Amino acid sequence: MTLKVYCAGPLFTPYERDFMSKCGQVLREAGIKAFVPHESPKPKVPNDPRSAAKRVFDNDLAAIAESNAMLAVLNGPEVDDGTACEIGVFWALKQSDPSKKGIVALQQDWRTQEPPGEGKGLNAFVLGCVLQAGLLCHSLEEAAQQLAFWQAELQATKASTA
Amino acid sequence: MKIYFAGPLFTPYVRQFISAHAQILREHGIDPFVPHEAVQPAVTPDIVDRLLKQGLLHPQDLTEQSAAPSAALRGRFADDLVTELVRRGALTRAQVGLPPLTPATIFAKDCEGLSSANAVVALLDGTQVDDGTACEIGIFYGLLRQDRRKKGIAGWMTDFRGTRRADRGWGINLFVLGVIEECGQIFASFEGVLKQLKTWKRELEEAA
Repeated sequence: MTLKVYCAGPLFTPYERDFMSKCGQVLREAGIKAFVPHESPKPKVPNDPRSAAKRVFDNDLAAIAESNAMLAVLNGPEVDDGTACEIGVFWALKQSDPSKKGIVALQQDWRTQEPPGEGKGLNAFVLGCVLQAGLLCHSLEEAAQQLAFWQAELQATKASTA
Repeated sequence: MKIYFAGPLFTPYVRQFISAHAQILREHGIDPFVPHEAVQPAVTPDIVDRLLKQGLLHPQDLTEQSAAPSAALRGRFADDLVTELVRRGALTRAQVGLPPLTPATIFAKDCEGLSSANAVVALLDGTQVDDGTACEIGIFYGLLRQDRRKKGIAGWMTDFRGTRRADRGWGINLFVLGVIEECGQIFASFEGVLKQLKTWKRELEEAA
């Protein structure tokens, strides 16, 4: 069984999307299934009556619901609101879904780091949510390691129940 | 009906704005959980006396407050003053004798408020939806999917950068907008928010 990871993060600029794609690539190389929202093909439905928000919601919520873990990139002057909302949804679904292992947050931004960083720190509620369901990392390698650990755990559980 | 009042509560004026509207909700029989009020320390007169004796608080700090007409009011002013000094970092929580406030304790306390709420009012103002508020919106929606006592989310936008785009998604993140519209809607006026909450309150009472 392959761990399915939802990669959440700001994806509004070409370089942010490149970084999110790189995260997905690093995970795939470790044998993990990564969902990166901007990479997912949006099925073209003729005369789709749904709003843009509803289409994004349907697409991303389905992926969060079936994921076993979340990689949440917290970079930015504050946590991107879409990312923060996805962290919240994942946390709530995890409460009644034992196949959800947890949240790995990746924070590299100088602006949300305590001194010597120049920021006001991460939002305490978001950080509390992440720490309750997982951990905070400062490099992609460290984050990938934790996800690989959950992948091994998931496979061990499957093997013992098979 | 209980609601959770989410918003960017980092400045005195936003806290006052949220507290004042929470008070209006109480007058309409709605019970709001207001995060900054929930973590507000109970500062007793004994604590104020001790801080004065230790020289951590100065009599002149209290001058204005001590002119208050009753002991109860004086107590409340001192309470607010000490709370404000703690927020500014002029006093530590340990000096006041309060338990530490960590991401874990803040999350636990607010999460309790979200779990017991029947609805959320989310103030969406700012250059983006405040990250804490966005996270709370996500948690509430996730819980609502499995809890019929949870009615929905009323977004509230007073920020003109958002209200002038009301017909084009309010200028907010599409995923956050999608979550709100899945179980509620965004209002530019508090009257709209209140009307929605009253509808949900009636539905809850009818279902009981």
